[in-house]
Amino acid sequence: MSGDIFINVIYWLVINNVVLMQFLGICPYLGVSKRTETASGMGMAVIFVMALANAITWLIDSFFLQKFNLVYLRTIVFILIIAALVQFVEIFLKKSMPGLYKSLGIYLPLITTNCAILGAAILSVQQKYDFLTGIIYATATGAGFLLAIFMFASVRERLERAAMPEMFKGIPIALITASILSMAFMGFAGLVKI
Amino acid sequence: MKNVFILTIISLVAGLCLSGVYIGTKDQIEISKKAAFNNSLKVVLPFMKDKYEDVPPVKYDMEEVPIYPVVENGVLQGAALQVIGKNGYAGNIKVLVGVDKNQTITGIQILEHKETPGLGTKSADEAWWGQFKGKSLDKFKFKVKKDGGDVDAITAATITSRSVTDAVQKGLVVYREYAGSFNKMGVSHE
Amino acid sequence: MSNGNTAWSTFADGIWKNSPTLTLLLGMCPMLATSSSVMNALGMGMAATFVLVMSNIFISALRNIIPKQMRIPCFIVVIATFVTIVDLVMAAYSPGLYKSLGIFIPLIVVNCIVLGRAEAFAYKNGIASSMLDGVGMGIGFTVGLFLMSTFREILGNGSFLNLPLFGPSFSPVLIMIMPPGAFMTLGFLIALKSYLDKRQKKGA
Repeated sequence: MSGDIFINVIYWLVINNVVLMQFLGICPYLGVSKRTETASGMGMAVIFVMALANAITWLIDSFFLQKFNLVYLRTIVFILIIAALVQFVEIFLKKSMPGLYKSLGIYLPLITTNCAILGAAILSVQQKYDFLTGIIYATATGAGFLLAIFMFASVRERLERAAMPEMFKGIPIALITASILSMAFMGFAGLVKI
Repeated sequence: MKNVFILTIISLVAGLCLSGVYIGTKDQIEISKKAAFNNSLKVVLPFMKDKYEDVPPVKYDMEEVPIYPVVENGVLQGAALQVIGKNGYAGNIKVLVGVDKNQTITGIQILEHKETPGLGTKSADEAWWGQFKGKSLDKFKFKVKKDGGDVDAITAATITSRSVTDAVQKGLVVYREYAGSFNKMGVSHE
Repeated sequence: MSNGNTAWSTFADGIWKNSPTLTLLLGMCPMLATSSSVMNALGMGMAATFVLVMSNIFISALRNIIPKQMRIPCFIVVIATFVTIVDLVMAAYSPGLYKSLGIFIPLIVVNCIVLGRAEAFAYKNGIASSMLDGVGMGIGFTVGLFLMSTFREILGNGSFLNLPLFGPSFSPVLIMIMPPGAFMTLGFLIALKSYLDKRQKKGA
């Protein structure tokens, strides 16, 4: 596994992109992609929380849930951990890193219901990644989210001024843009072999 | 404090309910899993009468290949092998390959795949995998036509087809080795 | 809202006028991911409807006990419980569907429709109307999924509910069952819905 880390990162980042190929985190993807600044802020927040959440859920899963045969409680335990973690990160950032809080803070409450976070946490334990691989997986997946949302927002900024039929304004044209982006990302498929 | 208490109570009740449902469904989940697997076995081993031998997996090229041999009166009739097709479009593909005593393919089932929904599932269709039936290592090139072999790839899913084809070929090779050692030592349950 | 007439209208609104996916734009992830075949879409719709109805009923019943500051975690626990029940039951009795829906079953927990209805409706209304709201929203979600998967399966696979519709000479538009097709179909469906809504307004 360790030798293939680079290949895996490429795979998680673009080939199996979390938004465009796996459809995770669509709500924030469509919701906060009108401006590139907000999009990149959200993307950063997602990378940060995803890596942290993955580390904690992995520890709980292997030292508690699997040990006591409680794997069926995974969903409920993971989502509670993520909700609590987001609250905690918010308080912590506010007190000790006001600068970072200013740039990421407003996105944090939205992250609890970002299904990419929970999805990545569950997929990572389902795939039986070890602790380190899990964190790399989460970081790469989060970076994939940032990449996708940043490109998307850059296109949307320009689309606002474009002329189009009334009924396509807003979300419909955004989805069609996402479709074309997703098509472009499919081109990465042959890049590496897993 | 009272708020935390209420949340704790709700969580506890929820946990209790879930463990109830878990205990209630646990056996059924096992049964469903086994039934699904047995159905796959029946498809790939049409000649299997009632049971297969319970033997440990065969080691092949750093991999452990689970094998389900069918033995009648001490003679090996064939086996099903669970092989991994590497380099799929999205990860590995788990394939169950049935081989008879003439070392020809009797059936194929895709047990697990992460391919694009709809596309990858076509590989589970007999319309596609039927082309492997009755083929053996010496008379058939286990490569897709694009790579100079004899296998018709699924339209727009060459990577998936390639991966499954590799797995099928591996199944045949592993079976040949197993059959060789079987003829020397007979069935071994260790 | 306990009035029968308005309860009925919340129910009817959820199905088409306030269709969760086509107008309110909630629950897009499963909408995109599980609509590559009609079978998957219906399975997803049923699972989500069950969770919506049950969590709406329970949250409405517990609305006087659940403290205001702690309501979101409490909602999440209730919703996650029903999601896990669906997960286990599906694994036991419908393993094929369970396998193809995969990660999107546990992810019903973070489906904005369920949490959104808990917060916006069930926490403020009686049990009966909350249940109706859940059923309406659930059916609305399923209808959206059904429309989308019908388009995608017919165009992308040439079949409906796995029954082939055209002869062997038909070559399907494969892109429709791949991710880009999902985004595109949803975009066109939402555009169509907004067009119809506008025309209706003009006519009235």
